[in-house]
Amino acid sequence: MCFKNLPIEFDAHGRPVLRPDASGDPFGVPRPALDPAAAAQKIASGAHIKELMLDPVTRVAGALAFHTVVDLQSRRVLEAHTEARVFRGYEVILKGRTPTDAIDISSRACGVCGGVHATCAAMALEMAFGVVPPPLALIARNLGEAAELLYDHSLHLFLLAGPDYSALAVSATTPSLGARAQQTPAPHAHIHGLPRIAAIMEGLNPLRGALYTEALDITRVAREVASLMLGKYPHPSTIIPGGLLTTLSAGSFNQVLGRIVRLLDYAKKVALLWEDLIEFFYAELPAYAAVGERSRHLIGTGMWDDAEAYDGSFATCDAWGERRQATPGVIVDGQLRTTRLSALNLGMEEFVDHSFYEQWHAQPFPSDPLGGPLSPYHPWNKQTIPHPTQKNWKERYTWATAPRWDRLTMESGPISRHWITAAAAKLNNPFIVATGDGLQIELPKGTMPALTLHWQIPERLNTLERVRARAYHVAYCCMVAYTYLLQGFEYLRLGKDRTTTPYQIPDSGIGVGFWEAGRGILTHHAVVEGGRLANYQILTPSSWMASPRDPWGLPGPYEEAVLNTPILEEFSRPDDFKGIDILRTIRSFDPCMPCTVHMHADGQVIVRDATTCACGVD
Amino acid sequence: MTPERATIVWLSGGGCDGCTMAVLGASTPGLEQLLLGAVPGVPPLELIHTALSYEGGAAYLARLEQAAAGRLAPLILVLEGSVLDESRAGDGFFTGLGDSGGRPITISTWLDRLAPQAAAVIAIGTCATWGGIPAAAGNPTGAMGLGDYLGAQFRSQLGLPVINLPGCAPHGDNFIEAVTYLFLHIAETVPLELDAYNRPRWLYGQGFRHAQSALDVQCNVPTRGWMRRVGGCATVGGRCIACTMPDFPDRFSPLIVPQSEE
Repeated sequence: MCFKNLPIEFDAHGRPVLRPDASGDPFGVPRPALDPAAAAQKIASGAHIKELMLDPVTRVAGALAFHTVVDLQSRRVLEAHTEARVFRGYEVILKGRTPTDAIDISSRACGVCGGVHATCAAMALEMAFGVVPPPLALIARNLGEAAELLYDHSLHLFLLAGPDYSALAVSATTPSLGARAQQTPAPHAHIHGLPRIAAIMEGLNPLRGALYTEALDITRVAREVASLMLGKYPHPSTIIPGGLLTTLSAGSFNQVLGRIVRLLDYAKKVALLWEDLIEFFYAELPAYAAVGERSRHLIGTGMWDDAEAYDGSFATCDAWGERRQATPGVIVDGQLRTTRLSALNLGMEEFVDHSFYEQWHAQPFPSDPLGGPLSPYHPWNKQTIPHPTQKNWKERYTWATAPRWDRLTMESGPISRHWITAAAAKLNNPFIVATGDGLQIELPKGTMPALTLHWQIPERLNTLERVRARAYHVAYCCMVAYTYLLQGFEYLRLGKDRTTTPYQIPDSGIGVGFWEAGRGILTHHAVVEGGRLANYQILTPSSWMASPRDPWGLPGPYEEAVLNTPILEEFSRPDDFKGIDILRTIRSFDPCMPCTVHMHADGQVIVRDATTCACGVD
Repeated sequence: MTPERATIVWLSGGGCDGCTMAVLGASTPGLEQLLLGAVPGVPPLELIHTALSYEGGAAYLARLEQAAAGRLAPLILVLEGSVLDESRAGDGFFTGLGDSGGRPITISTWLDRLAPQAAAVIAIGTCATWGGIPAAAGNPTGAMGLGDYLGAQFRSQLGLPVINLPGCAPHGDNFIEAVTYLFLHIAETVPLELDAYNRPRWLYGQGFRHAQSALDVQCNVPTRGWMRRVGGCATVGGRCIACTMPDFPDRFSPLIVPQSEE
């Protein structure tokens, strides 16, 4: 069964239809009130109950706000709210524009991951226009986008999340662990060159640590590869519907080769130094397995198309989707539900009940292009109607929306790309094997000897596993880049060097781009009418994960993971409490959005805030 | 005279962090070298930035408060992203950094408090200089550039107008060079020369004709490339969308001109 909560089933021909028992308002949504007084009661119940306001959460892309209430005695989190705190209105600006402007404008939705937006927009337009790029254009796009992820993950692992595991952070928040790290040899020191766990932690120190500064330089190398393929990064200058304008030659690919060699060696080091660090945390304190744990619900559109299979059409998206180098799909409770892009699209809904937007009412698309029944909350039906109001936890508190799949909260990122690809076992790559329960990644020799990495589907979905998957994903992206590099040489040798297909902007059309950002699932839904964009909807991975409560009161993934987090931090007085377990959890998702997190650790301040704050709980 | 240390407060308004990423990509020298004081004539710099600062939360806001109180002089205030017109947000807000009385403190409030304390103010990227994409037609936020927000008469403590580094994103080295020249200016070694648009003259002195609009575009990417001379826009086969210019993107739309049949 694909859907349990949506009223959709599949007929004998595998076509999606409304369930026969669905009648009246088949996609109807109940609207129970949230428990309004919970936080106030909890705060009033004892001095050990602390309201934590982390504002801003630094070392994330954009501005992030997160509000929690913590019981420092039982060491549990009682309340958690994610706040997205910037609204720029890109979807509103795109409405009525010439459709091709979506590529450059949506790229500027995110300067950290602009290339994925430009690519996703091009694919949405290719579907709406009915144009197919030549294979070499797809190869170069794929290669450039693998490089984008190499830069993005290196940045996150060492500049954004890395400092949370640095000697500076560990000595301040868990000094006992820091002391034992001094005594603990690193099992893979022969690969990464850091003899003890403490040396890894020192390398992660901000600005001065050797791993920090090395990563900065690596991000530049990876961006050179992205620039060789896509023109520049951030915000590529060569992506168009139906192809790529970059002047490609054997020289361009040779310049990539020289840089990939360095990245291949770096990938070996990154995977195994994080492996050593993560296993140290588990060994010292098994309770780290519960930090940031949440339901094993994962979603991914997959990415990196087969240059001969992709035709940009919705009718065949299940076929070309399953040939991607990261398999699309949905995991529910640890089990693979589907690998079909059409089903993934059908299950998507976006709710604004607790966001600063008005509910829309029109439903222009009752079904998708294949006749599958679409919810009125589906992105092709959604309208963006901003409505800023005062913040109130029981009503509206964020500029983020609440996307759901089959009405479940979904997580995405390197861990979903690995998990889905491993479980589906459909991957066809000369260097990466999906074994059903894991991945085997063969890194060829560079300056360092060849190395085979093994990543296993974890038993639990938690903070450290998100980080481990990201560290191994650097190797995965390297081998995807190398795969396309070899294809690029081959297509040039065969003289198949065309990179653009002419297109015309149709009077009307509908399209969806399925791609991924470093941090996970990305879709752009475009509707063209009268040769102009009638609607353009962008759903980013951080929309999925930084989401607020939904109409059923279910928390978003950051909120759920923080609520499940035990407080393992060592502190003698409430004033010393830094919230490192919460911060590591939030950052493990690699947030990429404007938000804020507020933290106070003084009981009296809290009581005052809880009773006078405009966003309060009265 | 070169001060012993200095502070950069980098605020993000309605932006995308792309200028931050461009500056992290700078390489002659890199941002880390600039901050650690490796450039002669430039003191070690503390960078207070939501995407890069080690400390968040109350410790972060405390540094901003100190900067606003004039205690982190000399202060270089940088804005990335446009200034959003919060009067259009009704009871709500478009940007928030910290709370006061349970309501988010907007970026424009922080600008009001920090700009008078700044030795120099830099608007990086086309959003912060001219409004950019958030200010495009149909925008719901009333986005504008920093020069428009602070007013043409604004002068920083060094007597400089808002220094504009346009580009979506600009070349990362432009920021490093602008900061370097700022300290040469402070030390009275080399004056910081700005053009009629308040752009550093040496960075935006080269112009070329934009094919579709027939306007002159000033940008140094065609001569410098993008990353360590790799990549670029029209020079590598791509499109110039005039992203360094006022009235980008509306005046230059369609940003992609369909190719004719071969």
